[in-house]
Amino acid sequence: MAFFSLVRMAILASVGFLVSLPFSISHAAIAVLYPDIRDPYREVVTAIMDGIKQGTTREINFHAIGDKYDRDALRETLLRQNTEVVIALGRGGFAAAQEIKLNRPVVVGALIVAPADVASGISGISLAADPDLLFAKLKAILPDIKNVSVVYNRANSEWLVSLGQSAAKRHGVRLLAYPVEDSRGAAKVYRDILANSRQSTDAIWLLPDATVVEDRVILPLILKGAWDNYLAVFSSNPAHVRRGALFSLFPDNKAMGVSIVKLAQRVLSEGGNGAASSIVPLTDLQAALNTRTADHLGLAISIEQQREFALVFPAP
Amino acid sequence: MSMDILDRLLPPSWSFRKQLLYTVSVGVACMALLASLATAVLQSMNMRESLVREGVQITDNFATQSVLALLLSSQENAADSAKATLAFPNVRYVSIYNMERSLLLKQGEKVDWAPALEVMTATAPPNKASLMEETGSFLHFIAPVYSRPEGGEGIESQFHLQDPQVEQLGFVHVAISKAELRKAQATIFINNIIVALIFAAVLLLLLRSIVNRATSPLQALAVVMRKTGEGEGHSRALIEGPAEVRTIARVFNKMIAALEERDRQLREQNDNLEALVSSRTRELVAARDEALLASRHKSEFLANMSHELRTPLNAIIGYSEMVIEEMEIEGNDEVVTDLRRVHNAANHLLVMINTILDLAKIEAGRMDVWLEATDIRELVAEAVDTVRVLVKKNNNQLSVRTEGGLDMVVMDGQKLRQILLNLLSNASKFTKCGHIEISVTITEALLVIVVSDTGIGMSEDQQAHIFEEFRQADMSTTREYGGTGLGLSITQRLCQLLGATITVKSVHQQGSVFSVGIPLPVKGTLLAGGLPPRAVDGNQTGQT
Repeated sequence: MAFFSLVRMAILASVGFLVSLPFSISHAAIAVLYPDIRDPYREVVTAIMDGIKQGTTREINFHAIGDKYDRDALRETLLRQNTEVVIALGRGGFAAAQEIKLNRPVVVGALIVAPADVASGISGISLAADPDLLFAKLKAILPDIKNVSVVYNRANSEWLVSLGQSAAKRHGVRLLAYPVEDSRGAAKVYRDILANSRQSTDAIWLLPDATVVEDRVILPLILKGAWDNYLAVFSSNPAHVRRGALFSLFPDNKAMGVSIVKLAQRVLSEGGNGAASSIVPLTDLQAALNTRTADHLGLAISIEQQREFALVFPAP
Repeated sequence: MSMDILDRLLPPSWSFRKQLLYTVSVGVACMALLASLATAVLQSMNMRESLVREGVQITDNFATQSVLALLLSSQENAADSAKATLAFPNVRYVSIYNMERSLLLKQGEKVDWAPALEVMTATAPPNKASLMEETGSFLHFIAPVYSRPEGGEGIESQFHLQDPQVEQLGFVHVAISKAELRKAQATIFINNIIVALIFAAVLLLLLRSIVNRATSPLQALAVVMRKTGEGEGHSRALIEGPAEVRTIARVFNKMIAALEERDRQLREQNDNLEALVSSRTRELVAARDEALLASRHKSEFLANMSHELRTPLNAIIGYSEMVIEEMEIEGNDEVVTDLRRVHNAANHLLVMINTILDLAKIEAGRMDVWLEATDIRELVAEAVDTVRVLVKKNNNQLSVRTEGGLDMVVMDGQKLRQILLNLLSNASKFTKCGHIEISVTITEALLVIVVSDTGIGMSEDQQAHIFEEFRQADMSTTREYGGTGLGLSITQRLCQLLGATITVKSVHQQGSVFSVGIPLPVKGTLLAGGLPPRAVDGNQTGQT
């Protein structure tokens, strides 16, 4: 929690710094390219955009990106609108930002993205929850946890696991990371983990990666195995909690929007030519808890503690 | 061709009722059978389709259930899902293959087909379960097994940089037995056919009674018509049955009534006619008898009159000759001249009377044909001699031509001579300073005599009447040339007696040609010895 506040403060400080910059870029506009999608996902995008609007006083132009958008027209519009930085939301927004080649800094949001996935000069906030906050939450709920196992696909989640390693250290937990190539490998590793884990000290971290956490077969296998072996399972997907994982941290969309626009402003203030890409994990998170699993694990979660969770399953 | 077949199948001689029943029966039976077969086929196809759908569903489910087994290469896991799948009806065999094409598990009966996995993995596999093979006994379904349902993430993938990869883990093979399907199909066929036959039988019974009801008035009408046709009186048809039959019966009855009325009228007319004919016949017989009697009286009178006239005339001629001879001796030439005039006038009168007598004889039927061997050349020569004076008188030339090898012919020489004399004297009379030719042609079967001249000839109108009695070509000719106008009429009558024909061809002012054709032999009474009685004196005949 303390760490969360620290990050907040750091961001605010940097914003203050930006505002006090000597060169004036007040007339520069921010363009937001967002995917034109249906509910309920649209709600997510809308909430992020609300956050964006809330986070700045600059002129913001929103552009929905459908399946067939006019690339040249969009490019012209953005130039006419004096766009200086582009916020790309979701895969559609990100793809459009790359396609129009506006030669303006791009800030990515609402996308599970790794630093390796983007070109240099592109910054953003991945939808993947910050491992530090995850481990902090884990420790808060289960102080006795010693080992956390994670199965990951090198190609997708190397950076996150790496962040996880350092976070685990900070929280006094040993992170056992198992790299795999595909679902078959993952299934076998999970089977071994489930067979060898010890109750009350071991936990399983599920990454937001479909190649290693397949919802239909592997997730039930993990959840059942974990239930049988009294293991805690956590992830960054509230749906997993509903199905039996202990807890998850999921995006606070509006806050994420605020963070994204702040990042954009910072990029702008830095002249838009940041040397390296800076994809950071998401820290604007809410928590979900499965009380039945908690009961099964013998945890006594007080009402007070439950209030810290945005979602509690099963619904009371 | 088609009509032939139709005629053979449905002979037109069959009764209307039989044709109708036959056609309807065959039609209904065919229709029922066809309908039942079509329904059975459709039902069978539907059953098969639903079996295939069921197979696809089962195989898909099996593929889903096999994910964990393939992920973990766990036969135990596979066995559970295999057992569950085999519990479905008709599922006889299941197997699971991994991506290395090796069999993870197989359970169930032995089947007659196995998937060619090389082909399956080399080419694009089907996305969903599908029927890969149908053998005699089984339907074989293959489904790919994916680690996650393809495209399952949908729009959620908007929050991922890439679409989640779909990873294929292997295949499942499910064999479904067709035995139950076949059994059910056979049952459907049999049931449908039985139902169709029962339906057809009931319908046929119904149709039979309907057709009977509809055709019985027609049959009754046919019987009535046949009886009428065979002459068994004029029965009336009953007015009953369908409208058309009633109309026919009504028209038939009207027709029969009209026929009866006509018969009655005919009988009446017949009776009247018979009475009329017999009455007329009586009148005619009476008239004929009267006419015959009158004609006989006329002929008798003529014959008698001629005879009575000839007797004093012969006396005048005889005595005038005697007086002429005496006066010549005395040298009283003046009286001789006058007496000769008397003598000539008497001779002329006698010829005319003889002619009339001949005609009367012919008309009275008293002239018979007497046959004897006759030398035609001699007969012609005689005739020519007879008319020679007349020929010379008008300064004409006469030539005779005979053809054919026969001379002697059995003939009535008297009549032939008279025919020749008549024709030659006519030619001499109506020709002046011209040429007359008589040509005779004799063959076995025909004697042809042609007399031609270069005289005054006749118009066509005159030729038409030339053979009538008392007619010359022009009535004025009688005055100019003399004669009774009976010569040609008598000639024609004589020709008729000999069975011969006489024709004339003439051009006015150019001449005439008379041809007589006498078919041989001539019918008549053959004379044993002497000549037939002479009707006319020979020395007078040629002077007509």
